[in-house]
Amino acid sequence: MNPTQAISPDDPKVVEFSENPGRRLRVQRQSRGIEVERIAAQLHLRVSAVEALEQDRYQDLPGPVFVAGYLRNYARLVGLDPEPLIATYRAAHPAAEPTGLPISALPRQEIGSGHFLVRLISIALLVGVVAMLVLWWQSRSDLLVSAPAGEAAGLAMSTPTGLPPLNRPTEPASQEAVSASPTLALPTPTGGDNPAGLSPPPAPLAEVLPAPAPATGVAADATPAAAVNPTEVALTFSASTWINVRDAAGTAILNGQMSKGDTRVLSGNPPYSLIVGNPGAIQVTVGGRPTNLGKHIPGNRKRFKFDPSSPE
Amino acid sequence: MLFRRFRGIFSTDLAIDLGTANTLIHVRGQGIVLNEPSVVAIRQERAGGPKTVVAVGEEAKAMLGRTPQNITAIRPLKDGVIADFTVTEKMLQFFIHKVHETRMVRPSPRVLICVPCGSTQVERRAIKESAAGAGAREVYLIEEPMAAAIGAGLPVGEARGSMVIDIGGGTSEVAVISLNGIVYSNSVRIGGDTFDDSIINYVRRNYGTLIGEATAERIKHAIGSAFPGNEVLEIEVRGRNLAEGIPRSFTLNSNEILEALQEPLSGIVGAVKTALEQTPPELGSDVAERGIVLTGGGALLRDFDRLIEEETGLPVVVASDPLTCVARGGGKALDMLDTRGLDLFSTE
Repeated sequence: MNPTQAISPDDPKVVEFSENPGRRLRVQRQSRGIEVERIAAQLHLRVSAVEALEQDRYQDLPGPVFVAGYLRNYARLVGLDPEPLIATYRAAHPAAEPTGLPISALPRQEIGSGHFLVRLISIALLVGVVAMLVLWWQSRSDLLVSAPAGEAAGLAMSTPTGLPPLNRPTEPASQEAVSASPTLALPTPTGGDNPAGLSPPPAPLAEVLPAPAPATGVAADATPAAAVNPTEVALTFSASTWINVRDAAGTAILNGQMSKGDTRVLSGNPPYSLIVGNPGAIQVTVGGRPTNLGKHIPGNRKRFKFDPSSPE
Repeated sequence: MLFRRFRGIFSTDLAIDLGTANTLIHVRGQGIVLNEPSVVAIRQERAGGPKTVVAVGEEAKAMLGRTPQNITAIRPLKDGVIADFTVTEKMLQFFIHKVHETRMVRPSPRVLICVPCGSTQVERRAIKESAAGAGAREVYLIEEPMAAAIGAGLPVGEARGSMVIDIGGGTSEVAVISLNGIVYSNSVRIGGDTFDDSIINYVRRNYGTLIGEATAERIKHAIGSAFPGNEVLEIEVRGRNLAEGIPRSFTLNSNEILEALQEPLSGIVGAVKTALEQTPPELGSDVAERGIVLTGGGALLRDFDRLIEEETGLPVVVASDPLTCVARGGGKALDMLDTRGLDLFSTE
């Protein structure tokens, strides 16, 4: 089959686009008397591909990068300047210019760690965990503060003392304290209720605090010798420290920087919550007696509760 | 971290072709904005003293082989990978700043860097760290032949094999790509630099004359060819005669250079043949039907496509603007980063 014959049916169409690179190549090839088979062999292409190139049937050829390359090689072979041909091809097929990739641009379905929902959920989880940790820590610190009080109360109850039982007015007072600080609920009522039926709480031992007498009237009866209010809590500072004291109602009764040698008397209802910058720097006196704070601040804690009524 | 993200708003995403010979930067929406030689000139007044960067890029390249004692002009990359970590970092920093010249805020762009497919994990990590040290907010790596194929406009996403040969300054990469992935890849440490070295060696052996790298490169550009052509080109060069110790001028022709380049060229041809051997038959037939695409600066060597064509018997086409193919491909890959995720990118 003569290749020129194969092309001839397309001729009228091709003539319309006389500038078409394929036609120019074919004309040049024919003028030089080279057969299409030889071109195909030189370009290492199939004859049909060369014919498609000559007839500008680019849809039968692979992508634009290949077409441009074939045109360049072909033009060089027949002695034409390849650049205008390629420019013509590019101009005629602007869509064929490699712009984007024909990749199925399906959005990714999988959810990565950067996904909005994942982030939201993880943040919520984190906040939840932190909140629970804070709650746990708070309840733990309260228990630690109140635990020694309970033990002390139990001890005191088992001690047979011949002292007169506390009079009833103690109860409402201590219950008030209890209602004010519900975290202390467990140990204190036993300390407050039991004395009625059982032995009295440990108040009157000489070295021991007049602990079970939170109500002022009662305390005055129990330790009449004391010149000062037996439940008056005074803080003496041996070094400068920052301190914040709140009473049972939660109102701040002492707040600020204390310097060495300062003494402050706490007003308001016990138990007090204290936040101290330097816990080693305070000495506490209750009713004029120095008190060991060690029990209330295990491990040198800077945040603790102090109840002068709780026995040591 | 947050501040970096904030600075990122004022930075543009970059695709960097960190080549042994040239570094190209493609900016999203602007095209290739920087094409400079990967050369840094460093001043060190006394041994052990502080080092300062004197010049980077074109300016530094002019200093290569012409520096006084206190200045050294070095190429921080060798064979496609980092040879001098700190200098590479400085160079990248300089280039990134140059691209962001007009900005007030210190740039912190997302950066895509092309790495040779033969590079080791250590080399990749070095490139990553170096870019991060130069101020990049995030660093992605893409294998060079993949970027080259995308840049050349090959249909990498189709289920058809496309073979691409990227001849860079330090390495040549041959890869067969199908469905966005590399089916086979091979990297040989032969490239434009090797051609220059071969020319230097040839001239020394046959003319007893020493020429510099810059001269060798000039000879390669002017008369270098990979396949015997019809015309014989000539060039006059000057070099130091080893016997007399005096600069002499002499004439070289293209056939001599062709002879000089035989060894590196056959190395590349060997790699291509190996690649064709290793390619699965279906993909091999796709390649045979459509042809091999040449990219990279080496593709500009006269008649290189003819050489591959004759050696393999397959059609070979040179991509348009082969020098910038990798950088442009990197730019396109960066565009797809947000929509397509990371499957184009190599990990570590």
